[in-house]
Amino acid sequence: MPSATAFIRGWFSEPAPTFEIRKPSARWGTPQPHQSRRQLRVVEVVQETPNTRTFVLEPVAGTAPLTYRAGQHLTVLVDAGGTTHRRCYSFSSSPAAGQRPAITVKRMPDGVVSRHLHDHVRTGDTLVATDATGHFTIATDPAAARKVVMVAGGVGITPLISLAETVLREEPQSQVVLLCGNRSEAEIIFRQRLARLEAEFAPRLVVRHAVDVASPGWPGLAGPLDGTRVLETLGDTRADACYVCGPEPMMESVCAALAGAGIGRECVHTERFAYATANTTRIPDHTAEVTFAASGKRVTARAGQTILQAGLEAGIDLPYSCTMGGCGACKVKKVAGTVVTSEPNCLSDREREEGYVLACCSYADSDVTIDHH
Amino acid sequence: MLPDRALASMPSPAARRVRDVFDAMKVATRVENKKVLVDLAPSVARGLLLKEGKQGEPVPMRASHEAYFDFRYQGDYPEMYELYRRAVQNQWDGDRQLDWSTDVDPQNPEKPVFPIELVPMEGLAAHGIHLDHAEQMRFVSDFSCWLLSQFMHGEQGALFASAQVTECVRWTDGKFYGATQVMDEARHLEVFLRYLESKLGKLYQVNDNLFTILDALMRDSRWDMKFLGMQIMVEGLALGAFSMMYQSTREPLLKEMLRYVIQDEARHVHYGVLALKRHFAELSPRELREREDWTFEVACLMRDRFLAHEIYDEWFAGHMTRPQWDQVMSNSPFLTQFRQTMFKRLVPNLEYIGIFSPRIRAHYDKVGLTQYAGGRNASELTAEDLLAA
Ligand SMILES: Cc1cc2nc3c(=O)[nH]c(=O)nc-3n(C[C@H](O)[C@H](O)[C@H](O)COP(=O)(O)OP(=O)(O)OC[C@H]3O[C@@H](n4cnc5c(N)ncnc54)[C@H](O)[C@@H]3O)c2cc1C
Ligand code: FES
Ligand SMILES: [Fe+2]
Ligand SMILES: [Fe+2]
Repeated sequence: MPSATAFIRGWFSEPAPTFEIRKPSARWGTPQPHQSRRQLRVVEVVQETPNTRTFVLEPVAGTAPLTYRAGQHLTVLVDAGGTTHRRCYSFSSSPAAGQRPAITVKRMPDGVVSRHLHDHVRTGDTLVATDATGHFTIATDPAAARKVVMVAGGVGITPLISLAETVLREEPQSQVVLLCGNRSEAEIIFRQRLARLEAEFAPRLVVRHAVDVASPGWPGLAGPLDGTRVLETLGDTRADACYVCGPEPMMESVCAALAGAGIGRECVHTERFAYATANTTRIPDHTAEVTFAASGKRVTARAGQTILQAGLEAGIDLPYSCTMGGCGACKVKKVAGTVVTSEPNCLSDREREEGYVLACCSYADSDVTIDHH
Repeated sequence: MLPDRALASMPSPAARRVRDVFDAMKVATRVENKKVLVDLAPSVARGLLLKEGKQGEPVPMRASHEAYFDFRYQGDYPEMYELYRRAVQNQWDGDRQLDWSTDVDPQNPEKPVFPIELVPMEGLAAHGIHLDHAEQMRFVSDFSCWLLSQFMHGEQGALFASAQVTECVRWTDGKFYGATQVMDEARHLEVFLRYLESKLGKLYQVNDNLFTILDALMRDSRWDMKFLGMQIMVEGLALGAFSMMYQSTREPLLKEMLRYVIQDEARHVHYGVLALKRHFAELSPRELREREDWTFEVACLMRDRFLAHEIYDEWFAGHMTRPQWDQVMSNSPFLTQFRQTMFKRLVPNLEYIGIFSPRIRAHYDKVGLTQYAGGRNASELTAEDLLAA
């Protein structure tokens, strides 16, 4: 028994150190930088409006070309304050036009990443980003002859201008109606580029600008671009497909109006900038109502409270176990509203498609209805 | 209490041994249930006295459980099958999905592995020990290595325990699931070892209390004890610890790694809860009582494990006594919060599987472990109460 001898020896001599200095074992090999991260050089910075800038990007020498489809975005990784922040930015360039890939960023007064990009990133700098992802795209078909309506609010124009230009170039018989809402004339993003496109593609492209606050002599629409205004402007234009991207309230109002006008859900495509995608979870900082359909109970989820916490607090007997998104015990079916869910979690793709959410790590972003309980 | 002055006059190796014997006796006298004492005593002796985990040699542990074969493939447990499916779908690859090219400097104040508040400054100052900034960073770095080393040792235990449990469990669906856990634990061991070796460069020996627990549950012949010890206690507490570490670390690679590990661990704990809920419903009151007492002892051992005697030996052995160090650690605000987060989720699980009767609750109350369960008694308990345990 070596330990018994050691025990006796231990009464007389100092013990060995409690730690060991280690070198990395050969089995780990030499780590390669993470596959999905890549370095992009900023080759040009364009001031579009007082608070938006376009960053034209190029893969650093010796790395794969940056391929993307119109409407997609990439995730920029920025180290600040000791953590890595990840934010998505849509491509504002059109791959169909042979333009260099570019993103257009609005500076948020207290935004971590957008401010960093505006205040510190200059031509020649490199950015760390992921490859392009996203499903807010369009499958173009040269034989198609369709009418596509696009509604943009503020910086929501980025994926839409890319989509519009791509459709116009790749589908010679299709038409695009693009409605752009902005707060003021000075904040209109891509005004000249849109005018040039309009001149090039007339009459297949119609662009209408709306501003919340119009100055005298403003030729466009005056007042916020909400659902009513959109329907009014479209008149009897029949849309085959609609693409909407902008601030949350505007999107809700526009989507409701389109549905009211009889446009099928499957024809309306939306992109939410506020939305969390994997790894970019932002917990909503507002309250929302959660309705449990079976019992008819309604509870108010406070900011930062999960649906599970809100339900349990109201005395609803919701199942749960790990409270960490790992076991699936708290799975509930969501029938209405939007939630933000911490990623990663254990839901399968199928469950996601079927509308299941994990109550323990989902936060109501709008009023939400849960099927059971 | 041990007469500190008497010990001070002894040669330090001997004084250290006296304390070891005293600590082991403290555990033994705390155990009221004789059956539990008989079960745990050999492990306590091997862990706390013989320090078998610290001899720098392989430690064979003879297992004595029964593999449960059932060629009828019955005993369905749909929830376990569902958990198995989830596990299969959520397998990840630690080599590919984590960015091992990340530069980690545990002494970089910009991206500390753990916050500098971890240093029990006030407690140390009370013993005349003042660390300058560089020393504090080095302490945090060592403590991080120690903590992650302990979790790594725990992962090795989890790997073997989950393999044993897969043999013993009575539901076919449980065997399916168990195999995924074995894989998960191998991956956890892999990523913790790799992180320690290639990023921090230092490994600490297994803590005596942790060794004692691993030894006890590896050798126990009853499958449900293995479940209780590993899936509920070790993993349940690790889950709490990982989430706290996840929230407090600023080191991106560790954060990412913990995020993946936490998802797996959450499943493991849920599996334990499912299995024991069914099984405990069939046990006699005497058997249940024994499990309650056993669990309580393991909880106490787990709590004391975070006193980090290995760090004491390395840093402060000549500067204060071990009981003084224990007090510093027990009072440290950061570690108090750490223990709280760890124990918070444990009690609901014990309640759910049916081993948290009012009788045993009183025991937990007495040693201050229920203050961690939703902060019930937190305001009334002082640090002295905690130490009196
Ligand atoms: C698919 C997708 C595409 C995107 N494309 C673009 C793009 O092309 N151009 C562009 O400029 N931005 C785009 N965004 C938004 C972008 O990812 C960032 O969210 C934005 O730049 C703000 O990041 P930040 O770090 O500057 O601000 P943060 O530090 O994250 O916060 C900025 C301020 O906004 C508030 N805030 C931010 N998000 C929310 C929210 N969801 N709910 C409530 N308050 C919130 C914060 O409270 C804070 O006051 C896109 C987002 C997604 C998901
Ligand atoms: S409770 Fe485990 S996933 Fe929500
Ligand atoms: Fe594990
Ligand atoms: Fe585990």
